Amino acid sequence: MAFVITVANQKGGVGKTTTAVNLAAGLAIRLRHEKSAQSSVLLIDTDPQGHGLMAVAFGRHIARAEESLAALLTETPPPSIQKMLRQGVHQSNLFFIPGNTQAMAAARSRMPSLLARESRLYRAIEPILEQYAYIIIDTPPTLDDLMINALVAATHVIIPVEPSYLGLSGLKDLQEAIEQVRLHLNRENLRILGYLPTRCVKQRVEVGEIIQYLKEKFPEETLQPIHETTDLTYAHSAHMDVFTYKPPRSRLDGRLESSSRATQEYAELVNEVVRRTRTTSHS
Amino acid sequence: MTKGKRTRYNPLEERGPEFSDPAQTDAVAAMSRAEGALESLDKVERIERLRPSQMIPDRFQPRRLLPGRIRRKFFSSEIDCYQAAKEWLKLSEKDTGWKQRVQELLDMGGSFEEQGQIKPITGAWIPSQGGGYVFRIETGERRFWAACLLAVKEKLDTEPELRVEVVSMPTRSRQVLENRHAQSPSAVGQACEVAALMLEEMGIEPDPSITDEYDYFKQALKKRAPRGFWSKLEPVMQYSTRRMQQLLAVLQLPLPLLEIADRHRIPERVLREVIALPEGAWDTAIKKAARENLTSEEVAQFEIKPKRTLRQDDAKRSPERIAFSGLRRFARAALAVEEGELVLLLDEVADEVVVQGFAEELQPILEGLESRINARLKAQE
Repeated sequence: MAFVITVANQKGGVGKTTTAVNLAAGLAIRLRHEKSAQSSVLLIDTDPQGHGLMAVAFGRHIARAEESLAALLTETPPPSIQKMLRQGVHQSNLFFIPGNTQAMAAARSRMPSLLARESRLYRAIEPILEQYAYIIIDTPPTLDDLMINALVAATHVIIPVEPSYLGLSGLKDLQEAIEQVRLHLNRENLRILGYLPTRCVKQRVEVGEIIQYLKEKFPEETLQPIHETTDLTYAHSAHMDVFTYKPPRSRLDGRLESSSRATQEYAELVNEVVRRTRTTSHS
Repeated sequence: MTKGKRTRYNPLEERGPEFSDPAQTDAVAAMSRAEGALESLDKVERIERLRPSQMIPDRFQPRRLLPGRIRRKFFSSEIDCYQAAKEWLKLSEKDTGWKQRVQELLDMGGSFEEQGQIKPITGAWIPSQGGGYVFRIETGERRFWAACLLAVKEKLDTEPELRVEVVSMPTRSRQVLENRHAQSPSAVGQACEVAALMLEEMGIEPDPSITDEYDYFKQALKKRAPRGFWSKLEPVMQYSTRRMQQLLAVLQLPLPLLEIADRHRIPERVLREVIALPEGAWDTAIKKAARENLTSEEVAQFEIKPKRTLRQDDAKRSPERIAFSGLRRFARAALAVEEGELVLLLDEVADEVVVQGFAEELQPILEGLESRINARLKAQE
């Protein structure tokens, strides 16, 4: 049964897409090396911009409206999710559901009028939960129906946090939204897997202070920080995850990290996600 | 309401035509419509469109369509559906039996273009190797192959799209009923249907590692039918229990003969007579029955020719030729040795003839041969 990890923060530009893409790719590489019985990973991008999918399968990431994620969320009965699954270009065991910017924008407008609108994504992925080890969901930078769907569908949430005072300001709203999903939408087992400091620039004094604050406030949940590096930017420009963009000399031993700091830090995140999810159980 | 007579409305009573509150009547009508809508929601079909490359026929469908060799390559993923269709078309050019079947399917494909696909293909999604899913066909395999064959024949640039209905629980019964509606299966096909339904009833699922699907159906021969199974099956198969048991017995034939019997649609009563023959005669009998369209009476009178014991060459030669050939070999051997060794050779041969025990019989024959050779030599002088 899949662990469904939503990467959420209603503040834009904190590294949600970068984290979702690199986490999904890293998990796919690691599981493929382990030759696990379940080694497939699925990436779902609920952000109408669809930038996450570009790094997974650029050129094949867009589909007609009726064959995209928007149809799963708005049609009754919804089309089969199974026919929409596509294989990524860089990792053979990384799959995705193609998007359509206009259709997702229309879906976002339409959703407030739909019944059971919060759980549509969950219903859509229910038939395929057994087929994947991890499902990673990227979200838009707004606390709207699309993000609520991503929270309802999730078993875990990773919250990228830009270590600045503005970056912390929206956290409380998100935490309250998660609590409401737990209480009112019967998702008591939804848990915050971690707070991930992202876009860290060492030279900025407040970065250290914010990270220290997070560690004090959330000692169990604060993850190792991800620093701002050009590798992450260039990888995305090249429509790749960072592990593909900066591979190690050899992957024979399942190595994720190379000389690139970005690969080392995201490899650490992958290891931590695997460790934390394998010590929990589905209910 | 009549004067002097008061009636009270009892909400527990059924509302009669005298009830005349228009607002309440509308509410009742609205509720009925809602209930009706809810009822019909249960029956809402989810019809979608899929390409043949997103689908796969059921390997263990009792009625086979693909020819054996192509079938093995297709289900082992060596070739895809379009490559299979291409090989099938090629085969049908040489084989009249397949030609007719392929033409029927091409005609069906043509009717899709003219009139649209009337019935959707039914099936369910199953995980495929590598993390994706494929739509396994429950009913409608003929429509699937019709589309593939036509796409290959007409060299279409894009894949056709077929209407499909996703069902939550595919069943063998539905498959069997659909087979009967489409075209009555051969005796072998029907035998497989009975076997498939029995195995499904017993919860015996097909093993994907089986190389030939007939091996799955043959398991039914060794099983005892569950209590009440035959009477449950009669309305599905529309046959008596005895008839179904006769059909099941057909599966005793080995796999290659089952394929031939299926392809040529040899009737069950003919196959019954074949099975009554010694097992060594089944191969010849089936092939003859297929080739010459034998009846069951003709098979029952089938002669089993004994195996030849002579060498094939000897059977064609006369005794004179055989004797002369042997003598010539003896003469060559004797003439090839030196004069001094000839005596030794003759001693050896004489010893051997005596030891082997035919010296007394041979002696007068050799004397008779010697006198005849002398006479002919004298005549030449």
